[in-house]
Order: sequence, then C-alpha cells, then structure tokens
Amino acid sequence: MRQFDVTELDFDKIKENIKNYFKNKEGGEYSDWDFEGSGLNHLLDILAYNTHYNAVLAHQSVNESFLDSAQIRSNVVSRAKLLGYTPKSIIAPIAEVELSFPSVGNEESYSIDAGKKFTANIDGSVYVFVTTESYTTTQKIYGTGRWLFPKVALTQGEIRKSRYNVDATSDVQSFILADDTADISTMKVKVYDNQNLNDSNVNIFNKFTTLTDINSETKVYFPFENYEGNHVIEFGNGIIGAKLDSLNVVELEYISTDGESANGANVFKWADEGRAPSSITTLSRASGGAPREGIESIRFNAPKSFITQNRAVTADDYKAILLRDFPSIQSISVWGGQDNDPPQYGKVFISIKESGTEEGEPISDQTREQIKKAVSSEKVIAIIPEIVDPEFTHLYFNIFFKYNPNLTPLTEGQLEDSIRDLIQDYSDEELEKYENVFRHSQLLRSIDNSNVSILNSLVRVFIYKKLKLTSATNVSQTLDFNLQLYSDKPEGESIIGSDPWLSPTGVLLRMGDEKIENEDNKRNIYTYTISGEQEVRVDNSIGSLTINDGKISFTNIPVNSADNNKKIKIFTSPASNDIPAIRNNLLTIDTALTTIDGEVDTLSTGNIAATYNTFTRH
Amino acid sequence: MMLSDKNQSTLKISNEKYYSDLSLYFSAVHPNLKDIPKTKDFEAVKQSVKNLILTNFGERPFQSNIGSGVTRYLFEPADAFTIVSMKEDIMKVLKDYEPRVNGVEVSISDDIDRNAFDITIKYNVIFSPNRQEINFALERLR
Repeated sequence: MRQFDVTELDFDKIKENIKNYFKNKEGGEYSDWDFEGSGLNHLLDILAYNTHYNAVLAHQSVNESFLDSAQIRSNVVSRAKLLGYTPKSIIAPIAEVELSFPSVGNEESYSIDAGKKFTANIDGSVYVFVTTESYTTTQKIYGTGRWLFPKVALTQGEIRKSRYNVDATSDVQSFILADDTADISTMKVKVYDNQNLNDSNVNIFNKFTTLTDINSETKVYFPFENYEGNHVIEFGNGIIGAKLDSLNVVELEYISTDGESANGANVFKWADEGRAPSSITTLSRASGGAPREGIESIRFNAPKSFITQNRAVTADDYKAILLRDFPSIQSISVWGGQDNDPPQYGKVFISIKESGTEEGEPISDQTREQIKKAVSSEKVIAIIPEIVDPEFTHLYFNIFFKYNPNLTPLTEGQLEDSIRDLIQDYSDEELEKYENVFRHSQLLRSIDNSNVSILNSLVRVFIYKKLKLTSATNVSQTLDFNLQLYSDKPEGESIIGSDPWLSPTGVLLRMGDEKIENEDNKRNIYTYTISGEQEVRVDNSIGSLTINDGKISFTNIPVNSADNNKKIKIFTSPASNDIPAIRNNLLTIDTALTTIDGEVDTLSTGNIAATYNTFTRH
Repeated sequence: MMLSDKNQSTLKISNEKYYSDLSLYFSAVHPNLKDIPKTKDFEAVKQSVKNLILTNFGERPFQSNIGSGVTRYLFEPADAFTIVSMKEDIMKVLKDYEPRVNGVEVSISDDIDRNAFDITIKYNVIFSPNRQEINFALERLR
C-alpha cells in the first residue's frame, strides 16, 4: 500500500498525495477521487487546504522565531531584544555654525536660548534647525563690537515634549512615544516630583547602559521598541533602577526630525523672534542624519553588539560599538597601531565615512569628540583611540570593447553610456567602503555581461589622489597610494603626472619623475613647464617617490599664493589591476575621466577578409 | 474496464459498479448502515456534472480555473446572447473536467416570473448508451 508522503508543502502536491493514497487503498468503497466535480474531490480540497494551511503556519512560525529568518519587524526587534540590542531611532543631522549678534547698550554678555530656530533650504524643501542647548558668550569681534559665538550646534528638527502622569499602582512603568520622527538618541527624560513643573522639582534620568552601577535608587530608564513599532520608555522597579511615585510627572523632550533628507544643509537663515544675528558662518554642514534602523541592519548589528559585550578590545569590538552608537556611519575601518604605517604601538586608529559627507570633508570636531567619548568607557585603558579622516583613491579607466551590432538595437554611443552607468553603479555599490578591493576581473565580467552584443573588453586601470597645495615655503607633504606603482616604462618616461598649477613666478608647472642613479626603487620628482611643444625643466627636485609602496614625499612645492589650497590630481598607474582599500583608504571611480571606446567586431559580423584590431594592455 | 480521465491517467473500474462517490447530502443517513449514503454510477456522474456547473471560478482553493461561472449570467439581460454564452460555458466545463460524459446537449430557457433560468442537460455516460438528463433551475440565492 502506498505510504503518505508528508514532506510536500504545495497544495497541488498535497492533494495528489491524498488522492493517490485513497485511490490505492485496498477494499475502498469509493472510486471517484479523480473527477474534479465529485463530492470526494471536494473533500480532498478541504483536507489538502487544511494541511497546506497548517504547513504554512508552522513554517512561518519557525521562521519568525529566529533572528536570521524573521521577516516581520516586531519579531526581528523581539529577537534582538534578547541579545540586549535596542534598534536605533531616526537620527537628526547636526551642523555647526559661527554666529555673531549686534550688541545693545552696555551688555556684559549675551545668551541665546535652546530652541532658537533657523531654516535651511535643500532643493526647494525648507528644513528647520534648532539650538538644543543655550549658549552664553562674553567674546566680541574686534572692531565691530558684535557678540561672537564661535561654535554653535544646530540640530535639524523641532523640540517636542511629551508628558505622562504616573500611576504607581501599575507594576510596569512604561510610557509609549508614538512618534516615528523622534530622535531617541538625544532624548532628555525628566521626572518631576509632582504637578508643579519647575526646575527645582525635576530629576534627570539617564539611559540604561550596564547593570554594574545600578541600584534601587539609580535614575535610569530603559528604552525599547514595542510590538507596534513605537518607542517605549520603561522605568525601574525599585530593585533595578529607581521606581516612580504616583504624583510624578514624566516628561520626554526630544527632537522631531526629518532625518537624512536634511543632510548637506549648509546655508542657514535666522527664523526666530528677537535679536537677529548679524552673520551666520557655516563651520560644518549638516551631517549625521540617518533613517530609523531597518530590519536588515538590526539583523546585522544585534549579534555583533552582543559578542562585543560592551568591551572594546579587538578592532571588531570598536566597529560594533561605533556602529551601534552612530547610525550615521556609512562605513568604518578600525586598525591597531601595530598595523599602521609606520607602526604606532598603544594606539587604535578609527576612520569613518559619515552619510551625507563628501570627499575631502574632515570628520567634524563634534563627531570626533562623540566617538572618543563613546569608546572611552569601554576601551582598554592604555590604548589611545585616534580618529583619522578618510582618504580617497580615485580610479579611472580606459575601456575598450568589441561588439556585434547585429545582436543589439543600441548604437555604439548608447552601449558606451550603458557601460558608464554600470561603472557608476559598481562604484556606488561595490566600492566606497573601507576594507574593500577593486577586482579588475569582476568589472570586466560585468561589462561583458551587461549586453549580449558585447563580445570582449579591455580595461586599463589608472589611479589618482588629490594633493592640497600650499603657498607656504618649506612644507613637507606626503601622498601614499599604498600600492606598488607600474614602472615598466621606457627610459625617460614619467610614471606619475599631475594637474598644472602656478609657480610663484607665474609659470604653469606640472610634475614629472626620473630615475635616480643606482636606485631601483626610488625616483626623483621634478617640475616642468611646456614651452611651445617642449618640456622645459623648472625645479630639479621637489621630492621623491618609492615604486614598491607608492609613497610620494614632497619637500617644497613652489606654489603661487593664487593657488594656495588648490587641490591638484597626481596621476599614476598601479602595478596590479586589483586595488585594495586598506586602513583609511576609500576607493571611488571617476566616471568623468574614464574613456569608453566601442568598436564593431569585424569577424563576428562575417567580414572574414577584414583586418582585425586587437586591444593591447598599455 | 479501463477508463481514462482528463489527465490521461488510467482508472480501474470494477465490473459490478463503475463509479461511486460520496453524496454531498450528508443529512440523509443510511437507515441500516448508519453511515452517510453513497451515490453510484449514473447518480455519481449526475452529481459531478451539477457540481461543476454550479461552481464559480475561484471557489475551489488553489484551483481557480475549475467551474463554469454561469451564475453571473443571472445579472445579464435575459436574451439569446446570454443563453448562448451560458451554453458555451457549460459545454466547456464538462469537456474540461468531466471525462465521463459525452454527447452533451444543453437547453436553456428563461423563467422571467421566477427570475431564473431553467437548464436541461442531456448526455451519455461513457459506459451506457442510455441518455441521461439533468434538469435544474438557476436562480438567485437571496
């Protein structure tokens, strides 16, 4: 007799199994299992539907029970809660400005309160920024008599307050904040002793971080996300953390923000009453805004945060702690001092790329301080954390491809455009992260696969880094490509090149390099200008480079004051086509400098007599 | 005797009885056997034909194509075109899902006073030359 197959999950297969089972049952009284209109077939429908329904239910229930496979946010959050992980809320971007205000009469100082409003316009959308604390200054700008606030932090959003009366008869003291736009990371939790809401009556509660310092009187709150996705603030029970009393009033003061959409705001206008500032100078544009943490991010971060156990010992611990505390970090790299070049023992180096920041934009002082503060209580005491700005290595290519025009409706230009889009996507998605490798063959494969008409391709890889010029004299500068340079070139040909810049005497200079006698690895860097079509040497030596590690050191670049702080590109070719991004290096592809040349493949179009051009490596 | 259904699989049918099915009228318990009654042969086929015609598309779980959907014509003009469409739908469902009948003939007349259609279907069951007939009224349930 046929056995029941219990492993099927599809309705059709389940029904077929039941049907076969009954059909082959010896001595069965019924025979019409097969006919769709029969009563027996209706019965099979019910049996199969029921089995299918239960199978799906069991399957989903098991899936939703594990952090790795849960799909419903509340279940992912619930699993993460068991690992002691609270998902991050939306985060408000912060900008830093310098403000000056006119002084009136004989003021001895001037203050601006928390909650003062500014506005910024990004692509036609107006965003409100506020001061979240009060500032007082006694500093004046010399000669103008204006009050100067050298650094004021502006946070995007509006300050909101939510108040709750405490009912101490309830066993659980939790308060729901049903506001998706609330930035919980900067929330202030105040508990007033009674309905008299003044400052003498208030207790500030801090966010719970560790059990070690907690007793029955400690003023802590426990934030978490509930089943509906709302933020919940829970208070202690008198054993772990202070318990609330019946007369207490809880006040949650938070920033309601637009999050990442306000990143990049850099022109601010006063939008409040009272004395308006005489000038607003942006010190750092708005950055750090991030959306509410999504389920994939929770799935990634929760176990790492658990493994770290609030201790920063290994490089991965630092990463986990910072990723947990700074949702605005787009990519992070941490390396020990022993791995630095040159090694610096007793230090740990941290480099971050924040969302909303652009190349060359240094990490703001405020973020540096916050990072140091975040790791200070969790690091090994003798280790000094050092924060390093990200450095970009730009890649650009000469791309050649052969194609068969009979296989595509696209023109050569359209194919070239599609490859340009492809490498832009490749740069955005695969590169621009720390500890990443540009893999040459991967790019070739995606070019070949991008259109069926593309038959073969060649990609020549070039790189450049930007150097900030200074007109000050005797300034040593270094530029580190962190890789071996391609040096197999004819005698007399340079392996680096540069953008032109103005010399102090007004001559347009460029860089070249030449072999140093008896040195295989080191080359001298000189400057030249172009007169007619001839290179004319100007400075015999402005520095040197080493081939095997790509380090360039400049001793004294002659720069005209007009080009002070100008950034020029230093071009070269790497010895290997695969380029790693190590330590604080980030790779990005410059599509504007990339050239793309398509050519009809004469052999595949049947023109056998034609000559066939091949592409060469260099 | 071997018969083939629409899926071309073979069915073994005993000589004594060709078809036996569960009666969907569960209320009528067999007085002696104290069991739900069976329908056999012609009656089993008749029940199947009627079931198929009165099933609407999407009514059977995961098998949205089974059915004739004729009830929707109750809300169409009661004219010759509607009757032709109904006939076609009935013929199609029997052709697709009831391999035991052939020589199907459908006659439909409207019964304006009852707001219903009278449907008569004549057919042969494959093991018998005797003509079978089903007659029922298609009307609104409420």
